[in-house]
Amino acid sequence: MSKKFLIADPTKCTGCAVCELVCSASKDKVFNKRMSRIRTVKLEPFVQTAAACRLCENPRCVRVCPRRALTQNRETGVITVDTTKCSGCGWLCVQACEFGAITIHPDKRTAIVCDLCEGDPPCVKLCVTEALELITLDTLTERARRSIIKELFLEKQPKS
Amino acid sequence: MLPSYAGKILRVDLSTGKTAKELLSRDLAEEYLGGKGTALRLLYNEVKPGTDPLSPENKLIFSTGPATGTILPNKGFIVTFKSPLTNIYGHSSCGGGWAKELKQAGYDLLIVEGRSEKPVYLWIDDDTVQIRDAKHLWGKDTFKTNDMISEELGSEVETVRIGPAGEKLVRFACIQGDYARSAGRCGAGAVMGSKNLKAVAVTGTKSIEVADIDGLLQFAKEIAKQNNELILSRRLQGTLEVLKCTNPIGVLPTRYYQKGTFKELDLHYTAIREKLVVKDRGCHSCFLNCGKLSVVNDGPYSGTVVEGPDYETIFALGSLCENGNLESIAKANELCDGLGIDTISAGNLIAFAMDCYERGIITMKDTEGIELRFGNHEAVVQFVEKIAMRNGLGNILAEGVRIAAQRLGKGAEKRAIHIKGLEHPAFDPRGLAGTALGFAVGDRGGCHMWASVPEWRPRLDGSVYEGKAKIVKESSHLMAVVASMVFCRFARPFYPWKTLERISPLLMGVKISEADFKMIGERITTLARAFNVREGISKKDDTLPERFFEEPLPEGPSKGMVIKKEKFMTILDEYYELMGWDKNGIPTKKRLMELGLADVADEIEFFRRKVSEVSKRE
Repeated sequence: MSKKFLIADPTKCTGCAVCELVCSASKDKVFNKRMSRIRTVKLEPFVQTAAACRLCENPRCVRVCPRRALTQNRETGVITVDTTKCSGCGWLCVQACEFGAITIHPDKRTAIVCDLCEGDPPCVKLCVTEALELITLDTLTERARRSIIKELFLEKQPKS
Repeated sequence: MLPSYAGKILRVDLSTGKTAKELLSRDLAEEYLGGKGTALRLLYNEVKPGTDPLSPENKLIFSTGPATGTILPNKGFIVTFKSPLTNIYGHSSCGGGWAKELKQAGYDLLIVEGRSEKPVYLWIDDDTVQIRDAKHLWGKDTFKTNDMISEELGSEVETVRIGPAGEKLVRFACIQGDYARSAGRCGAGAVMGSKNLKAVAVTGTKSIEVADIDGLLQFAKEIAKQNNELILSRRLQGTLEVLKCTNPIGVLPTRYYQKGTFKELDLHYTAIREKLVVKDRGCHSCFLNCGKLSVVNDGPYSGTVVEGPDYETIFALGSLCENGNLESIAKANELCDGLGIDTISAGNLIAFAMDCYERGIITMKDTEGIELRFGNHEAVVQFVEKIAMRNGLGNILAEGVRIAAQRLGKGAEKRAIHIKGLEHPAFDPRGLAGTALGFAVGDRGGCHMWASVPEWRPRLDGSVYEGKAKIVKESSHLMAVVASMVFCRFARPFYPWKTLERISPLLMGVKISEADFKMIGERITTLARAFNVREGISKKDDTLPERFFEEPLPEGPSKGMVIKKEKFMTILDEYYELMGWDKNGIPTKKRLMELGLADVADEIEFFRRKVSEVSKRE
């Protein structure tokens, strides 16, 4: 399991939206959050974070596309949109994604979704708070186990 | 139009309900960049001398700059108007995402003029502009107003809005943007309130295009990398970083400018972080993330949620009132944001009232039973509300310290600390000669943004006067350019002159040299002066409160320091000379012509004669 995906740590994210700016600048050569494949989410005042494609297993967006414009790479999990097939109906794929990670490009009128920029996304590089990370499930779960164990057995130990 | 600009100005006349879209001329952009500069030029052209700031004839100009909405750490927007607090040029800046929405809707500037008969708010949805009824929003605080508009128009909209204090024309009412960012100084909120305008909501879908986007991305990566330490320290400390520069050298104003250090409160950022801060926040496109979300979990102020308190707020509602209760500062800050008043002026007014109370100028009858002594944190919180709602004594304090002192009489005027009507920020000029000069000649009155604090970076000896005039001149020109590109002024270490030279072709597609930028900075600074000259400002106003010449700092490392009048007058004259202003502080015709301000030069001659006649008679 070496499939990597993007996560944002809401405790580190400040809602600065630099990721949106980098994404639209890299992909479309303009600044416009509506063209960004990653989007910030703010529930003021406590929650600021960012969301992008989760690379689901057997993803609904791919299954429901009536024109079979969406395909998933078996190895990387990345979903690609065949723009010659996509009609921009936005109906089924946009509706199917629980994460709101697929949107319709405002000018091209076809579906857009994070493609992880060949495994080296510039949004991660420019996230100054290091809230964004490209991570595998293994690392994520390993980190969770370590942190809970650390809390239970190291930090909560009575001080001698 | 040049890249990075939207190319249009939106004009809304609230008296007639008419809206118009005008072209932003390339000349205006090249001569004034944007932000502070372009808005100032329009204000100079359109608001005639002697205009009542709270009349329909005053204008409220929101302006973005070439940096707005791009990846370069920027400040969002500048709001420009004639100030009801100072009666001269007023402007204030605010971070957050509203400005990029305005630009994406297709407008570099929004000019609001006239006055609506009833409360309204503005909705700008790309090309569609609506003036909507705001009856249901009137009286609501700024948080609730934002929530209600988001519910009406969708969560994608960004708003700027006023609170009850703006509606009640408190002369230092602010405009709130983002979750809790403020265009605080000079009373922009009162001007908005006088127009019966509660809020401006914007959504924009257009793209922002720059000249060389790959170059700009590369540049952004470089500044992020090169300034890694600064980025980390500013995120950790926020604006509280300044505390360690002022408190130890005794220039943190305390007890209404009677002391320069404050020991009652552990002001180290780590203490404040540990006690209050739950999360770092950043404005749109920020690399520094100086915003701190704070929560009070117990005690009488439990339940307080505030973005802050920032350095200036800790000073105004804390040290200046000798208030060492951190939770009460957070609470008072939350109230200021919600009700919509500037924390700096509010704290100044409360501390001023405390000073008057202790001297018997104000009695307990005036305060309606509140023991308004220094250090009474409950009184600080109570008086924020009294001022914002214009209740009791708060109604007098809501006029700003200059008018309030006149009304109170009994020697209050001698105690009041302000320059040209603007209450002082958190740097005691007695220990900082260059800062003192910057405060005295600054275009909006006593202000730490105009020339920054020249003694801070690099650290200079505050007791030295020699050479400071030149530093103030350079610094104010850089700050004018930074505010016109609409970069964040807290991020200005990113933008020295040489870097600006590199940015301009990436952003606007034109090479602006260091010398050209300096010329633009001087043009803006001089035009602001010309606006103020038309309003009656001259050398007589370029001074500091008498107390700073007479009362020495009583303790701390700056103990015994006062501003030395003779030396101060020498650097003031020196500054005029460097700027090409005459001995009364009026820009000379020659310098105005050199700066390409021929039309201004003709108009200013009339005022020059007037001022020199008066000074001859005296």
